[in-house]
Amino acid sequence: MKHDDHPEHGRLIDFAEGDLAPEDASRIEAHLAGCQACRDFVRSLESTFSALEMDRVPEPPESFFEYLPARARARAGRSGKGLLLKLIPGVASAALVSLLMWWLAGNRVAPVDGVEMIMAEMTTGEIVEAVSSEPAAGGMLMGDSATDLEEIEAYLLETESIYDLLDSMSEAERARFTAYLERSMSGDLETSGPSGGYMRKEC
Amino acid sequence: MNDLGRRLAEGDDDAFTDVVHMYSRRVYALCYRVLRDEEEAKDMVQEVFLRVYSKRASFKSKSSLYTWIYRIALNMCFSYLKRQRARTVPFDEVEPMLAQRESSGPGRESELRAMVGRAMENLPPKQRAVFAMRFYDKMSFKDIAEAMGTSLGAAKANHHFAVEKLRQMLKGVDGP
Repeated sequence: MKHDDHPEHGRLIDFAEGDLAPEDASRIEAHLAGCQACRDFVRSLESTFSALEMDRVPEPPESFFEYLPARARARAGRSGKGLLLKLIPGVASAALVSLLMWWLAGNRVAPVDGVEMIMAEMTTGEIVEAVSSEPAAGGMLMGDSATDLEEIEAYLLETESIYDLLDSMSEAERARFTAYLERSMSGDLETSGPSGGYMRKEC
Repeated sequence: MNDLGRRLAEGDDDAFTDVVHMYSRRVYALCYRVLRDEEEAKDMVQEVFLRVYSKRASFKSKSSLYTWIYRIALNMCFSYLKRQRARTVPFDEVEPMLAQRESSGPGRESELRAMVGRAMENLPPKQRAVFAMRFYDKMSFKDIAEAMGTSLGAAKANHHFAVEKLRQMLKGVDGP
């Protein structure tokens, strides 16, 4: 290869990526030895690749991936369920609101394994939407507290994910949390105490 | 078709769980690199596996399982982006960023990272996708072409265009 017979940029890119057969790579190397312009091009490619290594993908919490199969199955099963589908956000938001109230109140050792029921049925966006659009459910569970509802919504939006909340729990807490959700989903809860918060019937 | 693909297509639920656990992180990373938004990528990966679940019976092609899933993900990402407003930064807005950069100091790394991010955003979605699969995912052009539904030559050409554009946009920028 003559020095003024420059390889195409595509070939130089392949070379810089180590994507050429050995004999082709040798030919390019021989050309580069006598061609400043192509050497500069390859050097600028190497700088570009080095800079591009800095592009990072933000890591979602582990639980995001953990619950993906259940959510996909549940959402696939949900299609065409009509009225039931419409009821889910209300029921789920009630359960979630009560759960978050409990958690925000610092009762880290109280209620939960039905998280999957909620997680499987709703995306994070749907949960936030349900909590925002169901002030009646929130008020019923929390007494008369628009502020608390805002606090919960802010919490969900701030953390961007319910998964962060789940990740912050120990295994035992998560188990109690889920049991609590299952109870609230099945209606096995009643109002109790001045705050109007929900407690288990047996309590 | 490999065993996992066959079991998935037959409706084996455990196979679906295995598939999600095996590929969801890679699919999420691909969605992020194409959409350039964490929340949109998280929503998208949920939609992708919902689609995989719903369409699993139709997986019987000669393609590998992961290129089939990638193809679903890419089609969904491209459709989504088509519905969004154009999110590219005009090319001439990238140059001033380079001129103003700090030459050293604690802010330099995050500044470089932001510049690289903007350069990636400035690529057309298909070039971005091909570049991401090649550079970050280390996929062969054959698999990229299969996932993109294009010819091998088109996949290579898209990659070369992407590299050349990134080189121009990031000229003078050195990595860490």
